[in-house]
Amino acid sequence: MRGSEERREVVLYPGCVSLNKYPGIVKSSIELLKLLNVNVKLPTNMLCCSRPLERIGIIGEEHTNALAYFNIAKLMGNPDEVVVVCNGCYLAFRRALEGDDLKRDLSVRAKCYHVAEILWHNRRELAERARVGLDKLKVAIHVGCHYLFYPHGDVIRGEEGEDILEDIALALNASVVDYEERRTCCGGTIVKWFREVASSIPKRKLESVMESGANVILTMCPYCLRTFNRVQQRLKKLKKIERVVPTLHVSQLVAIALGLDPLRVAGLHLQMPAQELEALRSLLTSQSPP
Amino acid sequence: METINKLSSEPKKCIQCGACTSTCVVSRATKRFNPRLLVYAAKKGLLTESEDIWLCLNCHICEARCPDSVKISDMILEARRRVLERHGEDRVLEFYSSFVRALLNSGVIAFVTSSRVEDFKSESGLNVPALAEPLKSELREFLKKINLEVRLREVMGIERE
Repeated sequence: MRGSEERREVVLYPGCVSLNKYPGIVKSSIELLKLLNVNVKLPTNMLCCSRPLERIGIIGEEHTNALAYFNIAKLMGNPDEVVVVCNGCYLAFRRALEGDDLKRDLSVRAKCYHVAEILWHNRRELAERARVGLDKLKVAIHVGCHYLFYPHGDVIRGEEGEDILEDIALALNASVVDYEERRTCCGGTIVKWFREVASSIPKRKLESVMESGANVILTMCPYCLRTFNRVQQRLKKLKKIERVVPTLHVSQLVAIALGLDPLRVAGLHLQMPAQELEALRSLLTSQSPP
Repeated sequence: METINKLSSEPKKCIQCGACTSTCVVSRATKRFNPRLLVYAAKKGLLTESEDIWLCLNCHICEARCPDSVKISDMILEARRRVLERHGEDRVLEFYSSFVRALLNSGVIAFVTSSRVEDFKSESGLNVPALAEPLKSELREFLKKINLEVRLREVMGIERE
């Protein structure tokens, strides 16, 4: 979906984690869509996509699909296009929209996009509008398993780089570092009672990120972002790591590059301590306005 | 022999090559988790007998790497559902009943726990309200229609509130 001269309208489904833990992801996404001439509405009320309950085995795929139809028909007003910011929500909606009888009963006709896909389609136009230089950023990419490995419909692979996030980062002049654990899971979806395994999986991944020299992790999934944040803060508290690599959602990175406020729009102060925020800001350079 | 609905033919496709296990991050973290052996257990109709089904991350990398795209993660999820249907895993109730209650009562499972987040949401016009009447009743009727309300209450042992 490209931005266009004709103003189009979408409903942005914010998702529970991004809305209630990292609302800067939602705000950044809205502001970027507006810049792309897209009119953004929010659902009238929030209902979880229910994918976390399906993942545990509490409910079935058919239930997740049905709740997606309820969400789209009743709480979003049956729009033509739904945009999500989370890989889990994306999976839930995309799979549901492959169709069944209930979808027809509720007259659901929407298409679903991940905001990263929209940013990817428009990356060159967005890069032309960039006002903040990202050339000091060394980005470790983490796309997230539910986009990489469990696609429904046509997920987008990279053109200039390995994946859509690398393409976006490169378009904005950031450098992308390779690291051994690039395509492994963040470990955030493990069931709650396996605490030891739950910490060792993200720890291995994060050690690989740190060895690469990356100074920022870029993801398109708020759930993965939350895992990286929580595990790093815990490891730092235990003095098992010396530094924390800040994690950004792709909407936040693009918003910052376009000169939108890192606090009032991207909400970075809600997801990293002041010292880490300052360290990140020191890597950003001014560019002359286009 | 246990049949696993639409996934019943999946275990037969497995050639036991071990690509799933070699690529699995949980297998690297703990030797006890072995997707190849779980598919073998599924072939024998014994998948729901294995406690290891609860270790799967559901990341689907095993399916991406499998030469025949055997739906290993989906088979494990189906096994979890069956175990829960026969009330065979108390830890799910212990750890997750609050999520189900939250979904039934307010529509969301993650909540604001910081005043700074609350302020940011208000200033940014992001206060999408939780489910309220009459939508809440409409959702309950909808859950009944798709047989989910009963499942949530039976599987999770949650009484009507």
